[in-house]
Amino acid sequence: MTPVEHIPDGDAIFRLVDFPRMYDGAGDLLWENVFQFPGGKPESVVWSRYAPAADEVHRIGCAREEAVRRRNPGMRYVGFLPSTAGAVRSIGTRAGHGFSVVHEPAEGMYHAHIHYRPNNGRPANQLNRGEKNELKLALRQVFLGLQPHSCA
Amino acid sequence: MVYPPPMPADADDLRDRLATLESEHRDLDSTLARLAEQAPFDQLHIQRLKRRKLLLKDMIAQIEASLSGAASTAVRRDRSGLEARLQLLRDFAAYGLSWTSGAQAKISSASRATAEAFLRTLPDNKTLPKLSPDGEGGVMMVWEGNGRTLLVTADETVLHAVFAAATPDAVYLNDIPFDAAKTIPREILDAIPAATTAVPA
Repeated sequence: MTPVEHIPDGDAIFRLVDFPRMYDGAGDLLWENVFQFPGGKPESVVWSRYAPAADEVHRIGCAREEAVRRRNPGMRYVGFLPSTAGAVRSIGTRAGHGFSVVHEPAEGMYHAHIHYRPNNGRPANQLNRGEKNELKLALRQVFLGLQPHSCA
Repeated sequence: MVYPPPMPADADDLRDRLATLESEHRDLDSTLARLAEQAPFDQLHIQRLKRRKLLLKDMIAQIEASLSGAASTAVRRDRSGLEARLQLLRDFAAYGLSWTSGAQAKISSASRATAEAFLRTLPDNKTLPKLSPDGEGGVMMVWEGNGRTLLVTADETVLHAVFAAATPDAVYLNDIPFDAAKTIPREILDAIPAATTAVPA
């Protein structure tokens, strides 16, 4: 079993971003809710320790695009958003909620998960919708702009 | 993510930009008419073109408002912006929108109806929000600016609002019913920025 490593606060993490072609042209009307935590599940990021260069991150994104486009031809990888583990862990909303960042090697050595970290150890499913969506907004704010890429 | 280019500032630039957008709008009209005569239809492609057309209409009206300073044009801008957003809500319900391939993120029909009613109720002198599925069937409506973000979520038949979201001053208003009276609560209405006043050229 692959050991789970600690991700230091200073390490970069990257969020791969896909975008369906059908929404091209609507960009100005969309709020980029890049982290949706569907059903409360964690969101995936790439840990820079195992994919330090932009080319490597894009390669992971393009491999995923190739797999996904067999069933969804309109979806394509458009780049990644960079941040650090520390920036994500430093989020604390007025309601006291935040995030944890953990290595998830079972899904690939570069793989990490961002989880909700509710205050006072409350279960994540007890967060109300406003609290969760504020967390998504705060999380998007600590990621920088898109490093664009188009898979050839 | 394809974003419209930033708005140019001076009147000559605005007129050039207007001409370009009007030309693209006419081209789209022709393309849509041509596609309508062909079978089978590529519905997704047609919808994407229609959405682009609505967005162009919105951008054209904004530039016209900037050039003329006419209040009536500003109102027309708001109306076309509303139509584009209502179309987006329909697409969120039918196809979903996620920024990651593993998820679909459709919105529920009740959340769509609540968000649509909210947008239709919003006075013309208020800015329209950016929209997104929240990933759990709801609709996020977001107003950003001046370092203060207002976040309103349409969640089935209720609204949740966060004022000054993601700041230490955040204020939460949860579980506001929006299915009967369809009146936007005063606290939310007051926090929504006024639509930008048209600036004469």
